[in-house]
Amino acid sequence: MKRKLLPVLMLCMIVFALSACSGGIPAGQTGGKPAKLVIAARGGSHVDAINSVKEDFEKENNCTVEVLGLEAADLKQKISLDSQNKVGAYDLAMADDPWMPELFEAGIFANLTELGYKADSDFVEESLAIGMHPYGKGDIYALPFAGNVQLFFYNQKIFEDNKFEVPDSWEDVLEIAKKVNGKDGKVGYVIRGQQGNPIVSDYLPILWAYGGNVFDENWNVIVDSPEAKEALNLYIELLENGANYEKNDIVAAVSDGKAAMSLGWPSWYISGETATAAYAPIPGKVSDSSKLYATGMIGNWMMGVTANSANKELAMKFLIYVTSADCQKKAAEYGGVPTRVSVFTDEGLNKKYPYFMTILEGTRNSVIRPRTPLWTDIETAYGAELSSAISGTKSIDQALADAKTAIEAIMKK
Amino acid sequence: MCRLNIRKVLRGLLVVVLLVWTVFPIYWMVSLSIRDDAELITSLSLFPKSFTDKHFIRLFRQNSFSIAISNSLRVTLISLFFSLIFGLSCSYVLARTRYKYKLRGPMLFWILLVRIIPPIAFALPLYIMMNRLGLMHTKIPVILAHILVNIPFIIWFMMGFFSGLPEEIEESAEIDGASDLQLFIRIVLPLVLPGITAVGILSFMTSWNEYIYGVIFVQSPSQFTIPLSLSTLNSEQELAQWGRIAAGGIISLVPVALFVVFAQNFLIQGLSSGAVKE
Repeated sequence: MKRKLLPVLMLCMIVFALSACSGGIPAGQTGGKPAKLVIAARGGSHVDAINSVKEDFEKENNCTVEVLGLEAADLKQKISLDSQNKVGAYDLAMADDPWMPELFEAGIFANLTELGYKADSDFVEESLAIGMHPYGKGDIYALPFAGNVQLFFYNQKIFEDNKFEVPDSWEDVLEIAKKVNGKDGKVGYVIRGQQGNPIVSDYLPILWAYGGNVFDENWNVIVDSPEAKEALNLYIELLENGANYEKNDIVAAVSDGKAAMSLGWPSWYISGETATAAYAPIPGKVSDSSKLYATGMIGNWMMGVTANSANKELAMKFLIYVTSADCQKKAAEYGGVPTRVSVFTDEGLNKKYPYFMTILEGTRNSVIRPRTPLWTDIETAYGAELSSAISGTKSIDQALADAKTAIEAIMKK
Repeated sequence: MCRLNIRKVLRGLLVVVLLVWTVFPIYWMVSLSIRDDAELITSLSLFPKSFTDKHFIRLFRQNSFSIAISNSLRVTLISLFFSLIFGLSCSYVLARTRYKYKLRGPMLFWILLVRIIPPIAFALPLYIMMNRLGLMHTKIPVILAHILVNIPFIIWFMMGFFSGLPEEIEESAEIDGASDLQLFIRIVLPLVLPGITAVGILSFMTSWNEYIYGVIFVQSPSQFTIPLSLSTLNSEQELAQWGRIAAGGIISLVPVALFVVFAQNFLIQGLSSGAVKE
C-alpha cells in the first residue's frame, strides 16, 4: 500500500507544480485576446473604488482591467523595480504625493502632455499641480486620483460639554488641552510621535503656523530656525497636556471621547456617510493676533501611465475615465475622496458627505511637502530627531541642530 | 511535605503563566474577529460585547481570500516537497564521510551563508533573473525563492540526525545488497522520520508566512498569498481593518494546525519505528 502511495503522491505534486507554472498573460501581451490593463494601486478603499467603476470601461473598450492592491511601501518598491523592465508589468501606477519628485526623476511615469493630454480645469488646482514636473508649472505626468488633506479632528461631545469653540489658533488648542487633560481620565491633545513620516506629518502643520519650514526658497535647511524651536516647544507642551498614540489609537481615543483633539487624515475618521469625529481646517496661526499661514498638509494619491507600459494610449484613456467626475461620484460610495471641484461641490453628494466642503477648503489652503526626490530620507532623519526631542533624549536646540546637519548631509548626496 | 506543595503550586503557576502567554494572542485574535466595527474602534474590553461573522464573510467576498488560501497552499506544498527532496539528499551526502569529495567545509559554509544573508539581498538579483526568464507571471519565482530559503535550513537541521545514525546499520543493508538509493529511502529516512517531521513543520510554517519574496514576485491579485492579502488591510493611510485581519489570521492558522497535527503522528511513529524489529 505504502509503495503505491509514494508514486501517486509524487505524481500529484508534479501535476500540482505544473499547474503553478501557468500564469496570467503579462500586461501588453494579449495573445489575440482582449487587451489587458494592469494597475498597481494602494490596497484598501482605492482598489474598491477602481473596481466599482472599471466594468463600464472594460465593456466599452473590449479590455480587462486588473487592479493589484498593495500596502503603500510595497507599492513604491514594486513600481520602482518594475521600471527597470523594458516592458513593464503595470500600465498604470498610483503614487503618494511626496514620492512624486523621486518617481519623476526615475522616469517612471510617461509624459501625459506629450501623449496629448490637456489640463482639465475642473481638478482642484493644488491637486493637479502635484502631477506636474517641475511642480505646478511643467508637463503633466500624473492626475490626482484621490483627494486628501490633513484636518483638525476633535470630539464634539467634549467641546459641547465644556462649551469650547473650535480653535483657530494653536494657543487656543493648547489652552483647551490644558483644561481637558487629566479630567475624568481624558486626554487633551494626542500627537502622533512615532519616528519617520508620522511625527513629521504631525509636527509640520504647527511649524508652518509659526511661519517656519524645512527649507527656505533657496533650499537652505532652516529646521533649526527660531520659529522651528518655538513650534517644537509648543508640540512638546501639547504632548505634556495629552498623549502620544499611533494612528489607530488616536482615532479610537478621539472618536470615543477619551481624547479631545488631534490632527489626522480624513480617511482615518471618515468613511462613507458616518463620520466618527468632528473636523475642521487646521489652525493657521499661533495666536489670535499673529499672521495666518496655510497649514493643511496635502496628501493626494496620484495615478499615472507608466513609461514602460505597452498600452500607453489605452492606459491614458482609462486614467482620464477613472478620474472623471462621474467615476469620482460613484467612487465616493466606496470611501473615495474626489479631486474635482464639480464633485466636491455637487449638491447631492454634499448632503450625503458633508465633510467634502471642509476637505475642499483644506485643499485650497494646503501646503505641499518639499519637492525633492530625497524627501523620504529627509523625513526619516528629521523624524528621528523630532522623536528624540519629544522623548527628552535631546534638548530642542540639540535635536533641531542635529536634524539640520542630517538633512544637509542628505541634500549633499 | 509543605515544601513539596509549594513546589507544586509554583510549578502550576508557571504552567498557567506560560499557557496564558502563549494562548492569549490566539484568544485575542478570535475575540477581535467576532466584534463588530463599532466596538473595534473604541477601547476594547477583555471579552467581546458584540458578535458578528461579517469580517469572515467580507474577507471571502471582498478580499477573495479563498484564492489567497489556495495560492498559499500550492506555493507552500510544492516548495516543501522539492525542498525536502533536495535538502534531505544533500544533507545525507554531506553528513556521511564515506562520500568523499573536496570542499565539504566551504560548501557547508556557503549553504549556511544563504540562510545568514537577509532575504532582501537576494530579492533584486532573483527579480532580474526571473524577469529575464519570463517567469514573472507564474508562481515559479515565489516557489523557487521559498525553496532557496528552506533548503539550507533542512540541510543543517538534518545533518545532526544523519550523523547520529550508526553507520553499521547502513553497512548491514549494503551487505544485504541494497543500492545507495534503496539504503537512503528504505533504511535511513524511516530512522530519521522525527527529524524530517520537525523540519517539515518548520519549513511549512516558514513558507506559509513568507512575505518579502511574495510581495516582490507576485504580479497579479490572482496570485496573492495569505500574508500579502492581509497586509493590504493595514496601511498607514487608512484605518486598519482589525476585524478582517484577525479573521484572516484565524483562517490562516487552520492549515498550519492541521499540518502539525497530521505531521505529529509521523513524529511519534518515527521515534518508535527503529525500536522494534518487524
